[in-house]
Amino acid sequence: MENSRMRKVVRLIPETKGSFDFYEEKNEKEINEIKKETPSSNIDYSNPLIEVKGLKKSFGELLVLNNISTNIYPGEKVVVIGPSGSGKSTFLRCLNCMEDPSGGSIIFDGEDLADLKVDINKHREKIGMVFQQFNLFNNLTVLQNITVAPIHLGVKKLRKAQFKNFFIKIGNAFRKEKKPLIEAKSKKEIVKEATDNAMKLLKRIGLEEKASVYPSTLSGGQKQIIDIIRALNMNPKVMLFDEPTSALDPEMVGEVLDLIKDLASEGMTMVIVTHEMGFAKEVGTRVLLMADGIIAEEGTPSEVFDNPKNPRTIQFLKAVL
Amino acid sequence: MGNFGNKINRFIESFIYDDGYKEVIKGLGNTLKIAILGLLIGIVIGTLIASVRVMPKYKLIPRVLDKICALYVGFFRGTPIVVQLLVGYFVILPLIGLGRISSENVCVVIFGLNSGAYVSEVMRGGINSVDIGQMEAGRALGLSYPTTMMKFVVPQAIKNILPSLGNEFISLIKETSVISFVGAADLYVALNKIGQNNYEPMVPFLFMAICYIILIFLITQLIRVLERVLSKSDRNGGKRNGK
Repeated sequence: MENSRMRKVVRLIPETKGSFDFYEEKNEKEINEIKKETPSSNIDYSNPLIEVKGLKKSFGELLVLNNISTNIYPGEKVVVIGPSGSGKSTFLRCLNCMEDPSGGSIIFDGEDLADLKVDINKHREKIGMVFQQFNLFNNLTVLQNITVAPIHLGVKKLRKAQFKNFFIKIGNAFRKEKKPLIEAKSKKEIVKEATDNAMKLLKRIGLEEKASVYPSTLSGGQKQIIDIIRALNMNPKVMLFDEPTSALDPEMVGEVLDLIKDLASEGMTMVIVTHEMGFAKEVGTRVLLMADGIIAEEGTPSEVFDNPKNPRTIQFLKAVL
Repeated sequence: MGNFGNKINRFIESFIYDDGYKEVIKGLGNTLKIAILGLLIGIVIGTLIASVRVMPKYKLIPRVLDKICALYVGFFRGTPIVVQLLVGYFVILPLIGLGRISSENVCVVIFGLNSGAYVSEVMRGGINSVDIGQMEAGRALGLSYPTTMMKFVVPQAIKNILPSLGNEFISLIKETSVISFVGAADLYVALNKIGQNNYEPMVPFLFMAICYIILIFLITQLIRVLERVLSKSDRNGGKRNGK
C-alpha cells in the first residue's frame, strides 16, 4: 500500500516538471518571435487613445486612486503591476467607468467618460474588458455569449436607422432634392456577420466544437479564452485585462497568456493588470508600477525591472522577483 | 373501531347523497381561484416592486419609490392576512363606498396585494443572488442596464426564484383557509357544515386535511417539472448526479 502510493508520487513529479520545462522553452522562442513582430515603432504617439487626467477614486473615506495621470497610445501594451490594494484593478475599472471616478477625467474618442452625462454604453462597445472571474453569461451557450452583444447592438442601430428613414421618406415626399436614406445592415446580415466572426475566432483557438455548450461545462482556462473572444468580437479599440490569469491553475495560465501574446503581436492596444512578472516583461511596452494609489514608477520593462529608482518599487520587486 | 366506521358512513352519506360534495368542490374551486389569481397579481406587483428595489439609487426618484415600496412590503408582511382581509372588507371597502363587491373578489385582491409583498422580496433575493459579475460583463460589452437585466440577470434569477415562488403558492393555498372570516366559502365552510349537521366533526376535518395534502402534493410535482425545464444550462443538463 505504502509502496504504491510512493510510486505514484515519484512518477507524477518528473511528469509535471517535464511539461513545465517544455513550456518555458517554448516561451523563450516566442519571446524572440514577438519581439521581432512588434517593434515599438508600431505605437502611434501622436494621438493618445485614452487620456487619463488627475484620476481620483475613493470608496467612502478610503482614497484608492490619488491623482493619476497617464496616456495610453494606440498599439501600446501597458502592464500595470503592484502590490495588492495599490489600486491597480480600480484604475483599470475606472478606464471604462465600471467604477465611476470620484474626480479627474478620462478622455476617450474626444469625450470625457467620467462625465455622467456621456453615453457610456456607446464607448464601452469600443473598450473590451476581460475579467478575473471570466463572467461568462451562464444562461447562454458559448456561441451566444460571443454574439449576443454585437447582435443586440447591431439590431438597435438598425431600428434607429429605420425610425429615422421613416421620417426622411415622409420628408422626401415634399422635398425636391431627395435626402438619402441611412444605410443599415439587415438583421440577417448582422446575425450572420457576428456568428461568422465568432466561429472564425473559435476555430482559431480550436474550441469550435464547444460553440453550442453552456459555460458550466468548460474548464477555467477555456472560460477565460471565451471571455477574451467575447470582448474581441466587438472589434474593440483597446482591451482591458483585469488579472486574466489569477483565477486559473498554473497549467491553464500558459494557454491564456499565449492568446494574449498573439493579440499583442497583432497590434491590439492593451492595458493589462497582472501578477505574472515574466509575462509583464515580455509583452509590455510600458510598465506602470502602482503603490498606495499613485504610479510609483513608469517606464519600459527594462527600466522598471532592471533599474528601479523609487524605493517603494525596489521593495516590491525584491519581494516578487 | 366500529364507531369510527360508523362516522365514516355518516360522512359519506352526507357527502354524496346530501350534496355535500357540491359545496366541497365549490370550496376547493374558491381556494384554487384565490390562490392562483392572488399569485398572478402578486407576481405582477412583486415584479414592479422588486425592479424598483434593485434599481441603482443615485437619483431622487428611485430613492423615493424605494421608500414607498419598503413601506408597502413592511405593512403587508407586518400584519396577519386575517387582519388585512377584515380591514379590507369591513373597513376600507365600505368607506370608499364599494361595500357590495362579492367577498371572493375581495379575497383575490387582498391575497394578491399580500403575496405581492412576499413575491417582491423573493424576486429581490433571486436577482441579488445572481453574481454581480454577470451585470458587469453585460455593461462592459456596452449593453444598457435594462438590457443586461432582461437578457442575463433575470433569466438566471428565475431559476433561483422558482422554488421560493412555489413555496409562496403553497402557503397561499393554505392561507386561503381564513377566507371564511369574510364570508367566502372554502373547504372549511363546506366541511364544517357537514360536521355540524351530523354532530360529528372528526371525519370531515380529517378529510379536509387529506384534501389539502393531495392538492399541495400535485402542485409540488408541477413545480418540480417546471424547475427541470429551466435547469437546462446546469451541468449534466440538470440531471443531478445520475438521479
